[in-house]
Amino acid sequence: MIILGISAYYHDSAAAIIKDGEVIIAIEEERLTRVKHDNTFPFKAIEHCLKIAEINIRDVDAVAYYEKPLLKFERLLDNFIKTYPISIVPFIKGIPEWLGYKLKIEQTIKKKLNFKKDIYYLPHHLSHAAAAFFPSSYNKSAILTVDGVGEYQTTALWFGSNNNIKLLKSIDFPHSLGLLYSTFTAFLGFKVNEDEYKLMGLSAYGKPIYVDRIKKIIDYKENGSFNLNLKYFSFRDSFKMWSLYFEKLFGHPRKEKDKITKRNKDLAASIQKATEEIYFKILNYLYKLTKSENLCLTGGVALNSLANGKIYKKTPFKNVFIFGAAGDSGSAIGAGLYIYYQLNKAIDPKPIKNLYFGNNYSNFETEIILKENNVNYKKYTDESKLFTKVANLLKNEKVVGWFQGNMEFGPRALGNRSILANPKKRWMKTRVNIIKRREQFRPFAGSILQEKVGEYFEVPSNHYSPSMTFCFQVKKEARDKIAAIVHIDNTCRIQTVSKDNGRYYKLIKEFYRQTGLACVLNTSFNLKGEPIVESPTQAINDFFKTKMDYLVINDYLIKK
Amino acid sequence: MKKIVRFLNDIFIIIVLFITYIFFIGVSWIVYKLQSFFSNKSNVNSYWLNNKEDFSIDELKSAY
Repeated sequence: MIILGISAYYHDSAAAIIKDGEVIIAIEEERLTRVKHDNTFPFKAIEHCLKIAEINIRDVDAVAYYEKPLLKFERLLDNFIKTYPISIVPFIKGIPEWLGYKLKIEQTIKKKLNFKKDIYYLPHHLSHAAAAFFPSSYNKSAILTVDGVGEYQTTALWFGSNNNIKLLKSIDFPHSLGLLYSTFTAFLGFKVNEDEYKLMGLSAYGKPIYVDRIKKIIDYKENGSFNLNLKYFSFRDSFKMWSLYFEKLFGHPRKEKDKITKRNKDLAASIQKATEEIYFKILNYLYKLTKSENLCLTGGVALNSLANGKIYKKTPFKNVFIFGAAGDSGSAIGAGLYIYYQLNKAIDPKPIKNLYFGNNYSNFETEIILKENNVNYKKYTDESKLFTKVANLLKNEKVVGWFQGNMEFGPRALGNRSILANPKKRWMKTRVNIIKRREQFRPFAGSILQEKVGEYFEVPSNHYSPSMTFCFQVKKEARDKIAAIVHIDNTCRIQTVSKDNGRYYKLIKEFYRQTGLACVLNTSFNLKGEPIVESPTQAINDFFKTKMDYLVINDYLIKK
Repeated sequence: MKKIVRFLNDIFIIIVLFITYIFFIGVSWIVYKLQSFFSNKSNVNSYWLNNKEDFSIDELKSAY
């Protein structure tokens, strides 16, 4: 049975093909259109998926759409009435796109894709819950979905058992932990739905002295439920996130180009702390409801890796699974998996081991592209020699673009479309930030051999984090060894790399043999404001635009 | 003459529709405001909602 999962029209549109319960291919629209967080209907992604899967739309048995558009529109109308007459301008501006195409999903799928069979519409948070639960290896698990907003829900507690997912409790719009965090993101001069991770990175530089003031704008209970004080927010009735009351409480907002002040850092630290406090209260309540030691997490807020790293200490959960594509793109997979397992109740869900769902370029294709671009290269026919060479380059503090195999799905580069560097010296952080044209306060993640993770980081035994969704404290004795990836609060976002990661594992293993370091600095292969590279051509372009030293595409080593 | 009558007629319909629209929205808004005024959330112990949603496969065929 083949299911096509689709997410669209909010942010990070994506498509996924699920065949007999396995993800054959999945890709975000942005990787093909090169528009970051592209939210248009994913025609290109769908076409690409069908092509790679070598099927026709007629071979697809069902389409699973990741939310219920009419219910979402109802929320828009409901909100308009509640905020009338202030909201009239955003309402009038928003209506044409709803009437023009957002409500016409069925028409788009049937007419433009020429699809004649069943279309299913899942509630937004159910798609998230399915994306978290089915790929995990748990038979039973508590599930938390938490993001900005779906149709109505913003936070939901679930219990997953084999093929079933049951909703336990929820909190509805406009009360949203995601929108609260996004309000501070915008207030501090960053982009909503895009730069929340910058706010998280910035939080380490400040002191959480505004937490008491934050408690004035959100009332939360011991069981984690919360209610925003709406007079401080404007997102319901304008294009602005906060109101004048908010400015009275927290001062002037920062503009994008303004210098980051101590107050900005303290505000970032405060919202991070308040978010964590609520997050852990919710999780403790979820544990109380389900009594399960397994936890699956998803939704945009679940990408807060700083909070995720503290779950083991702050809650009774023993096993935590976070789907790497926890945002809306992952819901294309979640929706597809849910429909598959509902239509095939007798089949047990299969865990997903990695997120390498994208396209793969062969050596043959790579060589043609290199020749077309007049690029000098050296081909390594012996794989081990390539690893020895690249590990040696990293050892000698060269920055290497690393392009291998199938592209990652989701926001993180996991060693197939990555920029790699030696994490030993602190200045390497500055250098790579310059190469990527990023703000200097932003930290880098580390990829570490699974078997060595306990030597460097304060992680629970057998911790497994292949999708870079947790930050952990770096052990005191390891801080000088990997100074470039130790953030100011001594944490680091980590990716554990095992043999499942193929060539990436072998490269780090070789780097370890040469240097005694089992970890490399890993950042996504893209420039500021661009999506991660998808093809060798894009990789070559970015390589020559920056001060990266070397580029490796499959078996080919390229030097400037 | 006919054109003028038709034009005035159109204008009249638009005005009636607009007044109806304003009336509908206005009444809804007043009802909502009254509801908000009388509901006292300060004594609430929990903001969790107990949803009973149907996720059966037939229900998922609906976009609503």
